[in-house]
Amino acid sequence: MIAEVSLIVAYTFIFGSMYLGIALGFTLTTGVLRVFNLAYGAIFLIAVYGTWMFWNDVGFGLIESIVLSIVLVSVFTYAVYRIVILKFAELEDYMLAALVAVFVIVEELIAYFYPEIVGVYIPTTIYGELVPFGEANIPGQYVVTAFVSLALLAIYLLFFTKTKNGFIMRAISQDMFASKLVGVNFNRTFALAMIIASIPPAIIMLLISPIWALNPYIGWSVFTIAILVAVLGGLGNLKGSIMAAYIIGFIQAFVGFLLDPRLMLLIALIVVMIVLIVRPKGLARAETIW
Amino acid sequence: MIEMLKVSNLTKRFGGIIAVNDVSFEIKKGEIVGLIGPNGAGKTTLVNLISGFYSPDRGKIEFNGKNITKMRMDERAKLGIARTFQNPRVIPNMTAHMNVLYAILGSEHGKELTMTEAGAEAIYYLDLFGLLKKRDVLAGDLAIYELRLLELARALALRPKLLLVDEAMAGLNPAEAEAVSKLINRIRNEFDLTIMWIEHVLKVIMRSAERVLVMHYGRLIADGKPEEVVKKPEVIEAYIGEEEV
Ligand SMILES: Nc1ncnc2c1ncn2[C@@H]1O[C@H](COP(=O)(O)OP(=O)(O)OP(=O)(O)O)[C@@H](O)[C@H]1O
Ligand SMILES: [Mg+2]
Repeated sequence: MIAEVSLIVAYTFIFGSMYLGIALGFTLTTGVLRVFNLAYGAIFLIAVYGTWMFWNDVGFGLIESIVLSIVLVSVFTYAVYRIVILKFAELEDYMLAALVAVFVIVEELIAYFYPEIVGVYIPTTIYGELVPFGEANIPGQYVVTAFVSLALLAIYLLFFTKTKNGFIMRAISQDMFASKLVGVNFNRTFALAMIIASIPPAIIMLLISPIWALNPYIGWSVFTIAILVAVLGGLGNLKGSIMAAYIIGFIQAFVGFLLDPRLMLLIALIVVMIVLIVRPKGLARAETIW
Repeated sequence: MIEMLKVSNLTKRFGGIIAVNDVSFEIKKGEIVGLIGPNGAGKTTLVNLISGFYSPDRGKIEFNGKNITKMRMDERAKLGIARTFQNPRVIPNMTAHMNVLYAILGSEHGKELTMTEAGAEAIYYLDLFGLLKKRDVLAGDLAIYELRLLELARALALRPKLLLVDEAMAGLNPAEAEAVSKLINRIRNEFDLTIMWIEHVLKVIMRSAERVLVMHYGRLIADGKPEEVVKKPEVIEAYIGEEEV
């Protein structure tokens, strides 16, 4: 029993932090830019399959491949902004449909070139040993991923709340017209903010990829977690996202170790639904990101 | 003196309406020019064209010798064109302080400032317009008088060369209107501004402006010294049934 308690505590921290990292960019795009970027799910795929392509197929070194895949993620995000978000700015339902379509197209392309049977493995393990925690032993890579997530959260929070560019990025979505009026290049700033938000999911996905078995459809399950965290957190507020991430992390750890691992996502979804019935706007108010 | 703003044959249509019709004029550096005309004359549209909110169907706008006709609004703001609105347009979910801070950060000189310095500068502009006590109030909760002042503070925070004022006194009581008018005259002297000032209250324009432009049905029908312009028959005719000139 003590071992289970250790496991649940440890994995609440691991899952919670990791989910925060996964959801960080999505929360920021909804909170700062007021765009429900449903193409976000494709970022997870482009990060790992991009790295795989540059490394395994093209023959670059691993580090170069990772850098190139992050460049690819940025280019993809910029294209999504120019081609979808800007075009459908006034037609929100069409925009959402188009964004999902973009995600599915990316997914299908990847599934075509790298079908499930092709084993994709990227050696991004930074620490492969087990880390003892109480009665439990946790894979070191999970611990690394959790701390990288928290570091990203801290960096992004400081950037958006304390720096000039962060302030400008938070202000642009409030009023496009007022932004142009004070000399802000709206399109460039918006695109830049979206690209900045696309980096954390790419990094976290690359870190988890050695632990999780990769397949072309993994984007959906990871993206579902990002949406759950953002929605439960109040769509855009980072305090809310932190609470939400650890609540979902706890539910998953609890269900995974005491009930049945196959129920982890289902029960998390049900609990989030119940919370949202009671508090439809999520745990925190989303007017501000902090 | 050199011309700061040169507008040539500017035309803007909205459907069948020609809101601005073949308008040409110049404004020299340091001038304070009044722009008057009956409702619907095209004054706001002219300001929208100069500030870059609309692009003209025809004509050319030059600012300090540079052709800015095709430039984006933010590029014009960075060059030094600031404006206020007939219906104030501030960011309602941000405090008065943040609204002004945003202008400082967006402007060219804001690039050299730290966040702390920019914050202090925003306070300076709020103070100049007597808004210090309202610094932490959301702009959406401000009264119309305070909004007019906030818009002026925000415009000034851009350190503009040319300030376009669109009816700074509409909706104000006489005391407030007087205060705003005094402030505009004061900042003009202290900050070495060139101003184009639209106002319905002719008395104020007559007193403050060195030159007056008159628009009517999209056309510029007079351009000259205030006391000369009001004597022109076409100006008197335009204003018949509007108000006393
Ligand atoms: N965005 C627009 N779409 C259609 N018509 C417009 C638009 N903006 C202005 N107009 C029309 O152009 C004409 C000039 O309007 P404008 O607002 O420039 O006049 P104004 O001189 O500022 O009037 P006021 O004194 O009432 O502010 C009016 O007939 C107006 O209805
Ligand atoms: Mg007007």
